[in-house]
Amino acid sequence: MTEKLLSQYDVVIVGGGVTGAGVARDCAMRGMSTLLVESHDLTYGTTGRNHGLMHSGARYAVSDLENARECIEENKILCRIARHCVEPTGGLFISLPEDDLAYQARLVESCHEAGINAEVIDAAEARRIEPAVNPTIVSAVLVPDASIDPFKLTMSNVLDAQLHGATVLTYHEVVAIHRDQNTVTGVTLRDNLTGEQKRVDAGVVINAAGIWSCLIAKLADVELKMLPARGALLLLGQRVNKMVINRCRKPANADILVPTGNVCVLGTTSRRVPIEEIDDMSVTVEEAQMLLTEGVKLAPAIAHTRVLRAYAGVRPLVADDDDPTGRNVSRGISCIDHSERDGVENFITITGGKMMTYRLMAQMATDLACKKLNLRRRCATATTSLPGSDNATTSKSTTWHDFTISKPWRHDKNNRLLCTCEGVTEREVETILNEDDDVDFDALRRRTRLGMGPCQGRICACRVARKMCARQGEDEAMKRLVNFMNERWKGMRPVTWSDTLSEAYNTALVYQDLCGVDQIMKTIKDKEI
Amino acid sequence: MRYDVLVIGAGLSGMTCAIALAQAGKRVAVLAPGHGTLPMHSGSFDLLGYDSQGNIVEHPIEAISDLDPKHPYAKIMATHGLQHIEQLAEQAHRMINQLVLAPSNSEAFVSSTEQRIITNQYRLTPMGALKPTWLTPIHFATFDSPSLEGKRFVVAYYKPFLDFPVEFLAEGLRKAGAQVEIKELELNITSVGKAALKAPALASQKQGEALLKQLDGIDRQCDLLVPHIFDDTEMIEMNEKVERRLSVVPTLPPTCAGKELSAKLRALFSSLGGTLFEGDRAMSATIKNDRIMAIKSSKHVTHDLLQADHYVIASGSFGVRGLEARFDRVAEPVFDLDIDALDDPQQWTTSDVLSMQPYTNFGVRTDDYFRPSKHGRTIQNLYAVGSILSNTNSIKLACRQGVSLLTALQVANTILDF
Ligand SMILES: Cc1cc2nc3c(=O)[nH]c(=O)nc-3n(C[C@H](O)[C@H](O)[C@H](O)COP(=O)(O)OP(=O)(O)OC[C@H]3O[C@@H](n4cnc5c(N)ncnc54)[C@H](O)[C@@H]3O)c2cc1C
Ligand SMILES: Cc1cc2nc3c(=O)[nH]c(=O)nc-3n(C[C@H](O)[C@H](O)[C@H](O)COP(=O)(O)OP(=O)(O)OC[C@H]3O[C@@H](n4cnc5c(N)ncnc54)[C@H](O)[C@@H]3O)c2cc1C
Repeated sequence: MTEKLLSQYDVVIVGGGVTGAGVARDCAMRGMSTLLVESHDLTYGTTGRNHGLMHSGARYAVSDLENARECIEENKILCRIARHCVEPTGGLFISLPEDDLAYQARLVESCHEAGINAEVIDAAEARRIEPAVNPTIVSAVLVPDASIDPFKLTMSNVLDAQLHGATVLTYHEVVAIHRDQNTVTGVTLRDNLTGEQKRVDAGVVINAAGIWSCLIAKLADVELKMLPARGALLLLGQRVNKMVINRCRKPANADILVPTGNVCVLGTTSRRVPIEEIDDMSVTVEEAQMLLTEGVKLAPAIAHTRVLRAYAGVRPLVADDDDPTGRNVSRGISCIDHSERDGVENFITITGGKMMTYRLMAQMATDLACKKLNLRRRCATATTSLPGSDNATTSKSTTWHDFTISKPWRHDKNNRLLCTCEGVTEREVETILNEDDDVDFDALRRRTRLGMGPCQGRICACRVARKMCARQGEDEAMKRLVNFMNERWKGMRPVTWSDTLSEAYNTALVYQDLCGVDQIMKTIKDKEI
Repeated sequence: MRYDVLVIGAGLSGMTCAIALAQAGKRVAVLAPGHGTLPMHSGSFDLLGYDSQGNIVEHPIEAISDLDPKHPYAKIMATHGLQHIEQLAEQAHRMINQLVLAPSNSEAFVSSTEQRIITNQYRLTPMGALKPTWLTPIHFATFDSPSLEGKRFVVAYYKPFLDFPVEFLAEGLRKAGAQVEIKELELNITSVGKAALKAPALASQKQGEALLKQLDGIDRQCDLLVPHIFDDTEMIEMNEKVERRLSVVPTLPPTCAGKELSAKLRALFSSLGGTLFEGDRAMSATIKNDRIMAIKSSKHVTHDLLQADHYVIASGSFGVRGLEARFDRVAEPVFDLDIDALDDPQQWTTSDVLSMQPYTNFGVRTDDYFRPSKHGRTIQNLYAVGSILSNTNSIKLACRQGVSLLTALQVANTILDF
């Protein structure tokens, strides 16, 4: 997205994850002139690398009541304002014979205290409502967990921000934060595609860069200690379960299985990593195998289900300011006013929390920004539906948002399917490509789910590459195609068992043996040297 | 019912072996759960297109001497000599002649000096690469050299058909030095729903006439290239009607060439009295004293097991489940044969998707007569042919059809010599 850039904004928001998107929406709705900048593409960060679980709060009820309360409240709000992103699947906390039933009792009690509906059901009932569940379960707790689409949620917030006048720049990285003595006055942006730099003045800078927030803080000469924890997840190629299945025990490895669309996500692990390694999102074969071995205990059918790919995300956890050792995580949301904490004016960091508490986080940050800018405008995000949530989207849609966010557009007879697995149409792809030259395959994937189905892009990749030829030229389109194949391949390499190699082999037959793409790339590279 | 030979798999290698045996009078049955990788068949038959460094091979038979000694061709060479490979190639050529339209380089097969030198031609791929190949049916675009300097083409395409990447095709021709024009066709296709159109489905709608009408005005100096969305009968009719060169280029899969080849292989086999068990997958085997006694399949269980004197496994590579990757090892699922593969799953793949992936070389381990082993002991009445074999490196060497044809015929000959 390259939009016209002004030289001055009320707020500049750093980070195009769900938090930044939510803040941009809130700020724009409250009438501030708003700029959202993202160094890669929207949802590139942790937002595109999580479980997709809309917690009921039950998972945190035992350890952190306040956190659980936030969850259930936001859960209810999202069910109203983001209906198109939420699948109200319900969730089970299952107790297996080896699990302590005393924990179950505490869970139920704490849930009630936090205001979360939690009902113990017997094994037979659990098996009836969720046939995929491990049949050896002793009993289960039924809670209002749900599944939520992080990509759509973020895009809908961005769209609404734009509809309220916000400017959104992707592939623009904040490389400097300017201070006039103790007051932040603006940022320098680098266009990551061209290398060009631009300076923008800002009334307030809001740091919503997830795990990278500490680096943004450093640009403003502020110390923010984060404790990155990396989690690996597996994406299973079928929707094994109908409901979210959690293990009823202290949170541990591979104890959540979330159904989403036609697939389900199994996770996760949690490993502290040094701050230097936050950009390493690799998953090892051991991690993947461990997840599967443990995950089978949630739903045995997983053992026979294809693993589409593995991916990893880093939790943006902030070290507790009150803990001198710096080893303890600050629970919940960190909304930091740096003037109070560090004496730096007009600079706010909003991080921690969860994807599903993004709206509340946005509200907290925006309230603070309003205070700094002396604005008295109330937050309306809890009561205003996101575009696409009500089926009232205009029928004369022309932008990518409308195509991807309002499904009805897909049911146009003359609109052929490009990606059969995910039902992505030709017009959808053309519209997105026409709007923006910089859109590559991965950006298309994040906006439409193209290439996310069982064939991981084998069938549709060539069709899309053809569409890029007119604007980008054949060589560039070919390079993007190969990049995409490499991206998809990266996620398949840690999970080479079962159908993965079978799919990969067939892809090699089509693109190399039949089409000679390897030979074509060789020619392109030779020409460049 | 007892057979002389039971073949597992109905792709190119299984059917070739079965046909050769049936032609020699054997009673043969084929378990045919699917069509192998034939739906991805370009139309051409590659024998050996590149050497192990990736250089283009001009004379495939000569280049066989330089192959890794574990390559199936090298095994045939070790036991029977290079000349025998030429004989097998000739045998394969004769069989293909029975199946497809007269291959275009039959002259190249026997050169004018009466010396038998197989020379590669270049096939045009759907995305415009020129790949060295051995035999190609007459109506496909093939060239004697990878340079197309001075040539002029008109490439026709049909817009609603998404799987003919005309942009890349034209660019490939341009890169090879040719002048190219692109022409959109209007065809009379009744579309069925929103699903993308497939080449064989288009072929069934007989658009030859419609196509020819639109080619009238085109400069006679240009060669015409059209997507392969016609069946063979229609191609022959069309070529009789136009007085100029009209060639097809393969589409993305499923290809028309693959569909027709598969149908013709099956028809030929049946006409020879062979038995084809469609949709029937081999499941497991009884093995005694290093011999296969019987096979259990998805449709032949308990009292109805399949028995034969010889067995041939032609169940293909990973793509069609002839080989399976498990958590910790690669396995051949029917017999659990010994496998040539790396132990550590981290080493099965490399990060660049287009470079040689080690796993593509995994496969069933055999002796020089293509007899597999289990727990280190050779099974006496079982042979493996085609892509299930290890060390074929067939994607990078461009030798896929050649390996299937030659190993299948070699094994058929071995069985017939018994
Ligand atoms: C394994 C795992 C599972 C999880 N599961 C769930 C779950 O099921 N439910 C849930 O609610 N939460 C879950 N979470 C937490 C949730 O994913 C995160 O809290 C949330 O996505 C954070 O969003 P964010 O927008 O704050 O950060 P991010 O999504 O990381 O966004 C930050 C963005 O800032 C950009 N950026 C960085 N530096 C710069 C710069 N200099 N200039 C411009 N842009 C920059 C980055 O590219 C990135 O896109 C999970 C987390 C993990 C790790
Ligand atoms: C709720 C949810 C639902 C999803 N549903 C689907 C779906 O239905 N279908 C689908 O295909 N995908 C789905 N995804 C996953 C998505 O396609 C991406 O895999 C995910 O967003 C991560 O992005 P990426 O693959 O571009 O990450 P990348 O960072 O490109 O990672 C891809 C792979 O490369 C590895 N990797 C990353 N960095 C390195 C490195 N430095 N060295 C070595 N390896 C590395 C990673 O471990 C990963 O395996 C879903 C994701 C979420 C959060």
